[in-house]
Amino acid sequence: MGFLSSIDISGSALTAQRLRMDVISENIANAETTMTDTGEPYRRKVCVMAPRQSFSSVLDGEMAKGVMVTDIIEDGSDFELEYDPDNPLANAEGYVLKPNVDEVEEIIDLMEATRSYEANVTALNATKNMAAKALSIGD
Amino acid sequence: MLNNLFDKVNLLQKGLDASWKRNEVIMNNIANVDTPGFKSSSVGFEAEMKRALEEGEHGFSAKVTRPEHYQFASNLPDEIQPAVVTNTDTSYRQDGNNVDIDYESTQLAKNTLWYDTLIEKVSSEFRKLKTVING
Repeated sequence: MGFLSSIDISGSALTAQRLRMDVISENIANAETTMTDTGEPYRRKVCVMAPRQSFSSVLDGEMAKGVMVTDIIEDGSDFELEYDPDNPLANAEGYVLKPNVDEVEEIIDLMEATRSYEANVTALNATKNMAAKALSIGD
Repeated sequence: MLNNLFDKVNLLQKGLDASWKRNEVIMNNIANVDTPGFKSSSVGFEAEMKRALEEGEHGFSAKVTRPEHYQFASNLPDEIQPAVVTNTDTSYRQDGNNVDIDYESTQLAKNTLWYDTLIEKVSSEFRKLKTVING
């Protein structure tokens, strides 16, 4: 039981939530990107979160210490079709493939990440106050 | 008298350790609020400690004739350790996560206050000693 290592628990969550916000921002920024290096429109990206636990700590039966983003995966759902015959990327029928990013969904995810971030800041401050209080014993 | 000078402080220290552990567990729960399949944990300590203290007063202990004989399970307050229990039997959301952020936040507030209370008790123990020493 480290004195200040428990602050890293909330710290890891702050890092993970911030990365999640970055990925969401990237999705929103690329909501209209119809062409990428792969020749396809932009694909929505999603963070995969998992408890932060090492192999040895699992064997020792210790509890996880925080959270981490293990992977950023691409959403495999279908691209949207938009009728835009003037676009140079339009197919024979005049349709253009658009990214599979739903702005409303992204904004809701962004709100969720922000709230989680705030909850972790609160937890971190509580721990900080407790540690400071422990140092005042005997005053 | 001097032998058990710090008995109370040692007991309070056990409570502080359990409270700190609980804080770690709550922080871990809050950190994993968005992790699919994560199950929340909680810490059990006070009830077990109370039982041990009461049994210490008018309970009984196993008679041992050899040092390698086992004593009854956690009979002594000194041997009580905070136990982390994972709540695997519920799911709040589609992804299998069962962290209730409202519950965790209230537990966090409660635990912080409890910790502060114990710290205050430890400090007051030391203040009493100081008064006695200084006369």
